[in-house]
Amino acid sequence: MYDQKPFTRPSWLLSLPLSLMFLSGCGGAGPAKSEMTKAVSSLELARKTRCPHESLPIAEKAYEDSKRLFDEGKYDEARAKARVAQRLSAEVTQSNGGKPCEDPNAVKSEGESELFPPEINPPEEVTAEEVPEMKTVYFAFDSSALTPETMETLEQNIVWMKANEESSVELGGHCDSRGSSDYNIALSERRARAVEGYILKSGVAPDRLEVVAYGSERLASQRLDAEGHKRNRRVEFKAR
Amino acid sequence: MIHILKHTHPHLQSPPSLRARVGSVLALSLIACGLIVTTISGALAQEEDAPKGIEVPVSAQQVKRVLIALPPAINQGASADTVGISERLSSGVERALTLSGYFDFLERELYPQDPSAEGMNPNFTSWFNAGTQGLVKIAFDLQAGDDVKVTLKLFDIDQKKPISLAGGVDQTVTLKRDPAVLQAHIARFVNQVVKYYTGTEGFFGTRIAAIRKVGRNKELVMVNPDGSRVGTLAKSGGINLLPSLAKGKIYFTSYRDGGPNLYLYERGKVSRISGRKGINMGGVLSPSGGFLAASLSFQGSSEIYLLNPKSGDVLRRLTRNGRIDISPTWSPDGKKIAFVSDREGSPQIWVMNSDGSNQKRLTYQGKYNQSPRWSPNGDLIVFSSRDEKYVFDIFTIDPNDPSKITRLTQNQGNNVEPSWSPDGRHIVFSSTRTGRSELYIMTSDGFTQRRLTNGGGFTSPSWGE
Repeated sequence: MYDQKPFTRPSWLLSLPLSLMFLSGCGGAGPAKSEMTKAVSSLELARKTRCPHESLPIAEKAYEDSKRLFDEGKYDEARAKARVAQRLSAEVTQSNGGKPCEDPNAVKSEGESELFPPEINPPEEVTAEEVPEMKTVYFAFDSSALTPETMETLEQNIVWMKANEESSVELGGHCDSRGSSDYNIALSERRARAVEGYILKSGVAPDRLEVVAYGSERLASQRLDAEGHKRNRRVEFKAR
Repeated sequence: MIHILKHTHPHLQSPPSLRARVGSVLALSLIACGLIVTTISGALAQEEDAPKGIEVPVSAQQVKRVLIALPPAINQGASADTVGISERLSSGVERALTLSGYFDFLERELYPQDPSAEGMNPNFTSWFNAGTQGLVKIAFDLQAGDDVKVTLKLFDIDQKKPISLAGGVDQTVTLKRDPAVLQAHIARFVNQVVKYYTGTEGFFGTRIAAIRKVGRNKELVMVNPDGSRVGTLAKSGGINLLPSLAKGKIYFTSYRDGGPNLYLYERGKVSRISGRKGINMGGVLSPSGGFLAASLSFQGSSEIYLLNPKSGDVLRRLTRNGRIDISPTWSPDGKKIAFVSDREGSPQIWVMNSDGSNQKRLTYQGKYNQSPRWSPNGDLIVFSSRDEKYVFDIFTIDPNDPSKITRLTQNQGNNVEPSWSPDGRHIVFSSTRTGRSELYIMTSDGFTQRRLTNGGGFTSPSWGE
């Protein structure tokens, strides 16, 4: 039992929005809004297929989340969520070969498929020169989970891949130096495969991606402190 | 709340000298090893979520140790020792006895006066009064050319008699002055001294395959357990990992042509055993030699398979889940395989039948248990675990009674990748206790720990015949 409460409720509540503002980063509302608009279109197409796909409710939720985050002023996170909603919607839309699930008369014709193009999100209107280099994504200890920040970076990397369609990309999974080398190899592969799975949903051809599990054999940092370990838990993108 | 086990291993710093002192130090260490647990509340500063570490105190000593006197070698010839034979023989015997793990040395100031004067016929009463249990005497006689006559002799001071060792290793022999030849003779002698006191020969003559980091590369190397020779095998100029030595074969994992792929080194030749898509790693030969257990990920996540040890063909898939299954190790009867799986959220030691049936989790303490190796007599599995202070240490667990967990290392850097000696009485492992990664040999109770390598960069030992 506490004799005294460590925080009083009002100060706790006051500090929350301040910290959220701090965490939200410096992304603007414009790009987030643009992604959310695309998410709405993607969701609409996905719903039209009437395909009972497990990703649809997740896409709906991601979009709802993006709206909430936008309202809270967390534009970077809202943009990431909107892109997640787009990707998952596209997955639903393409789940039946780009055709509605409840249309028994669906014919495999060129015209029909135009209604449900495999690439829902039009490629960004940028040239290869304007696209920034692909960036490394990072992971928590013993984890291969993709955080909103990771997804945001992946979305940028996907833009690069779509602008450089002749390139294949090595997804190099890495771990920090702690733990056994075999476990680290397996964990690094799982990280790279999580990234691969996300990218494939965007429509990048599978044969352009190659997963390599480096374990803890190619450290980005030789430091043995928390910061060094953090820099080592990563998936690197190498264009070939 | 995180529990810290706080004490140091007394014998790791200063071996005892006298029988009486051995007794008192042992009594103290038994109390210290088993019982002192300090509890500290609060969390350690870690940026990641802090999993609770394994909480096991260092075990008490089980292996008996013998106090030995080793006076300087005696020159029985007319020629002066200008080539350092005396020092070479004395230090060689001392190092081998030390590494064997069963001996402590009587302090020199307690020796009888001028032990050389008695030659090879010791005054048993003087040595008994000095407090030693055993006495090893060394004599040499430099011959013409490159030869030297060497006599190594063991005396049982408690029983006041010279001992005749098996194989004639204590007879006078004429040897070349080549350090490797002298070391080989010393190793044979010490093996028999170990047998005299313990009933089983020492481990000299066996081999340890390991990995050594050289620049940016990691090379496959072979180390003698007396530390006398290090040779690089299958030099590739790339990253080589996870050697497993058995029956004259070394299976290892390498990035030499992409990978990681699985290779076999045998009689100077390297052949690729599995180069499937994804991970191919950690091949371990079954006791009969008929199967190779390895981790492959060509069907999705890393799973354990049985392969044909020569062709690498898949004979059976043993695990089937979307999580990590790696690090297989065979029970000595070949009926079971222990392995690492994180299917329940964190890497833990599991056991299954060698056909993949009856998969059961073995470890529940600690959140990060890895690198299991089943002991040659089947009664224990040694593994490494991240402890309550986020440091890796070595533990054993009884596969038939998982409540019996014994801690073998503590407060000495990170200690990982244990591997049993072929007779199961010792464990070689990799430790960073000096700041560099070196191989160490300890008795299976962890009580005696000796550094084997020097120079740094040594990891992944695999001890075999």
